[in-house]
Amino acid sequence: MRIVRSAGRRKPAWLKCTLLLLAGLASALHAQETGKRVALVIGNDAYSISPLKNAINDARAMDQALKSAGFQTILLENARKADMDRVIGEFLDKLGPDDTALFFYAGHGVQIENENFLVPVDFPQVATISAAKFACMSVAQIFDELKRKRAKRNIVILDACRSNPVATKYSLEAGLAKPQDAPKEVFVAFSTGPGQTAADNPNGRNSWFTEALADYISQAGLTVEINEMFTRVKKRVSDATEGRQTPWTTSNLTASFYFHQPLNADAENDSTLTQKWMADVRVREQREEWSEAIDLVNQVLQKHPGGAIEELAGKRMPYLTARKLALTRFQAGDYAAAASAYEQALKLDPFAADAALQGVNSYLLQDRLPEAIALLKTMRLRGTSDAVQTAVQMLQQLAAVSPEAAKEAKASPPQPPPIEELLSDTHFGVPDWDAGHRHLQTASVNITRWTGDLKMEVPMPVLLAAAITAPPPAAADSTAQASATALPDQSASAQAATVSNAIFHVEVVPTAETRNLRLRNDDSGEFGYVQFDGPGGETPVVFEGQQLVLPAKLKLPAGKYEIRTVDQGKVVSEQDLEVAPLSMHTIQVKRP
Amino acid sequence: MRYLALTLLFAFSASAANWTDRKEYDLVLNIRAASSPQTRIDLLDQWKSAYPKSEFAPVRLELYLSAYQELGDSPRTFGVASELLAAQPDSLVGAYWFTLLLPEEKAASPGQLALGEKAAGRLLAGGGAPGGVESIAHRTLGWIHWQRSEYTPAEEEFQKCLQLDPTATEISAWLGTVLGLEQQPGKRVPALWQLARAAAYRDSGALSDGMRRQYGEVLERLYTSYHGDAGGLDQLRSAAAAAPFPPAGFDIESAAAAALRKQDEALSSINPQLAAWVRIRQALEAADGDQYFAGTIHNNPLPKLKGTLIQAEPKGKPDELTIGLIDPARAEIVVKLVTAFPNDADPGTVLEFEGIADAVSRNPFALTVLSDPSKISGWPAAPPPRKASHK
Repeated sequence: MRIVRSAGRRKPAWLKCTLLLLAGLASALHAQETGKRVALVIGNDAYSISPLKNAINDARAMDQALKSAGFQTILLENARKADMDRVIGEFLDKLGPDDTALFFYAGHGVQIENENFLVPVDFPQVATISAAKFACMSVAQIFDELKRKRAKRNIVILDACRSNPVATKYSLEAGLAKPQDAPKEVFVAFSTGPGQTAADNPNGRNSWFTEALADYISQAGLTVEINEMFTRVKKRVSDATEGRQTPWTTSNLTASFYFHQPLNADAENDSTLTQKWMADVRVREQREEWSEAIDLVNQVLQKHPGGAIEELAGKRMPYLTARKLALTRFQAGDYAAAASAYEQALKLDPFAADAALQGVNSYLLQDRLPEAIALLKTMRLRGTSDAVQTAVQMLQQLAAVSPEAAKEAKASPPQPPPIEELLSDTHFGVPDWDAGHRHLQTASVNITRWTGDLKMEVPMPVLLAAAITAPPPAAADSTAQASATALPDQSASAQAATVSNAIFHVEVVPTAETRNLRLRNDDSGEFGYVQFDGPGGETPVVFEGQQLVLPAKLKLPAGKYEIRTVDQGKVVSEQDLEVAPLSMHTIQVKRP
Repeated sequence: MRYLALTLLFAFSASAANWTDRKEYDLVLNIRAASSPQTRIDLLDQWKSAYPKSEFAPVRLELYLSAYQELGDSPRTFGVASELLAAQPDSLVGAYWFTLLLPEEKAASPGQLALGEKAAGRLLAGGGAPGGVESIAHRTLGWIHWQRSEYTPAEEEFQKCLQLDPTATEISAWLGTVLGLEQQPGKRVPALWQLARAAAYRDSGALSDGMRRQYGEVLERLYTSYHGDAGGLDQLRSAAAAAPFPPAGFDIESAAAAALRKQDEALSSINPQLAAWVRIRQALEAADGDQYFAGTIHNNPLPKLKGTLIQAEPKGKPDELTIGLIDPARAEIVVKLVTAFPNDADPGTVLEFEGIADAVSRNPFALTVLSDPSKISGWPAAPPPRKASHK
């Protein structure tokens, strides 16, 4: 904070002390994100030994997710060593000093002598560890290049902790090593802890890690800081793997990074956002960025989150307004107005020792000692031990000109106020219902261990299956042959239904009239013949339980029939046929 | 009012507590000013370490809980809620968070389930709770029953939840899963509906894209295995997205039912007598078979049936015939004759018969039918009486 003093006024000794104290309250400005976002995404599946199933899917999912988060992406699939060298150069060329660089790799990775290497798909059969190192892409080298480019921030995500052939071949330690000599401003994430291996999620389309990460990055409404996002990823992966795999991160980023910026209020719908904004308000207060703090509180109030958050925001706004006014007036040299505003701020937050101290300063600049001493008493009552000490020191200095200050300086320190007064915004004994509601909206319970076991197949009733395949109650005509069949029994004919509807087949169905005629006169002895020609092999011709394969010749009782061709359970063609005694017909069967 | 009373009670006990010294007060002032929950946790740790026996220990637990919750660290929030309940069994804060987070425990112990039941019960008992609390209590009670494999009460709790909050699609997914786990014929379609809702509902209260995708995959797998193919799945998704429960009479034909229907049609066209018998026997062997027998079959005439004689007793003048219909070697119907036949028939003789259903046994299956020789055809004629020999 800049201290402005009216020209031509004498600066007393006590004021020097006060100003020194105030100088310590200066704050840094929050750096806003500028520059572009560039990502290199590599996915390697096609290894000659131990190929992977999900790495390319992972790379594609991340590519899409990162695009949704405003990244320009370079996607490389099944990269050979030369491809990796080339594309990393291309990636680095795109980076400027204000940019955010993100490197994502899914595939085999290995640690050799405590250094991490990414394995290209053309990894050759080499004899030595040194040769293996040269055949791989060094993560340290990528870090070196990122250091050299000095991008504003770097994010390196390696889903490369699967058990792999290189590690096995050279008896190397499984998983990746903790990164060494990482550049400044880097966030590093591994799909599991150093030295551990991760699952490729053989039954899924993506690895557990990338599935969770890409899902969260894709959610435009999820405006959480990168650390918080990875906290969620860790939980989800840990839940999904029942604790066998927990992603690992390390970071030396000095500023927050959001895949989706929280300040873009129009696009926000995440219920934790207002909570985060209120946390940001605290940071702004500590930096005495009152306008920014007020903007954030306004954002919260405009979103009407309800509950404790809205209540807190509503309460905080008058305090922040008073502090902003106080600072403005102080900087303008209007110390009376500044003091009044500081008093107002103190009424709104009696524990704001810095407001008290600056109020003291404002009063002292007006030579209003009694008011200054009253505020110093407030500091003694409600301030921290340090604030109390500062207040006592100031009172001791003022003792020379004020007996009251001298008396106060000598008095025993008062008992601090009770905790309820101190934490008046916390409703002890009452749950934060809204926080619970918000939690339910964002958290989800993983029930895959149950849904994975669910089965819905309805077994075929045994009885009907038995009926369909039952031998006839009367012996069937034993003269049935492959090329021609005698009239089968009714029950045997039920076997027609055993032909799966999914199979292309031909059905010979007597008309109702013919059926009735047969029932009345079962032994008429009048027959004709029908020859079925067409695609040979496995096309069945079904007639009343008998099943022949094309080409086939059927001996049919005289009468009327429908010849149906059935495919995928549907009748695709129908033909009427009248079989006269001793007649001969030929039917040409065609597949649709 | 109950909550207010608890709050006042707690406020009283907190007021009675005293600072150990000014340094303790400093620590709490720092906590008050801390902007991030992680910082607050660090400061709370310092406070706990420096003042383990502080008179404000219960307050400190609530502050921990709040910070862990804000941080999104559910396991630790749950842990603190457990501590709170252990320290203060009447703690509403502890009961609320324990109830809310218990379903996130991967392997809750029987003790935790019992405690959760108690905590959820306490939430339900407190009148005037804010909206949603009742639903949270039912959610957890349902989950507790589920963990104990008590599926019917679990279903009931989840249904209460959905009635209170029809957009709670996580509960739809849970209900669908529980219904599916029951493996009961009548619960498969409602299970598919609920899973479809979890996967397809996209308005307020919808699950995340990832979770919806996950349930969508489960739904597709189960639907195709149930129905035989994905036909109609899109319509199910659309319908379920629009309503939390299926309309009355809603049904999806299973692949087996479709096959059954087609086969029944086929059998009916080629052997109507056997088809009629199969339908009767299926109904008799179904779960409600006794009811079907008593209400529909008992003392009523059966349609004319055709079967194969397996046994006729007693020899010479048989009045009890054992007949196989589906399988000529396996007894299904016992025909008791009012009047005996005057002669025997060979096993394997095909008979057509009518009669009145009298009794049924299930294991082995046998339907007893009362009949008369005049209602039976196919019985061989009695040989003519031998003429007396003349000496």
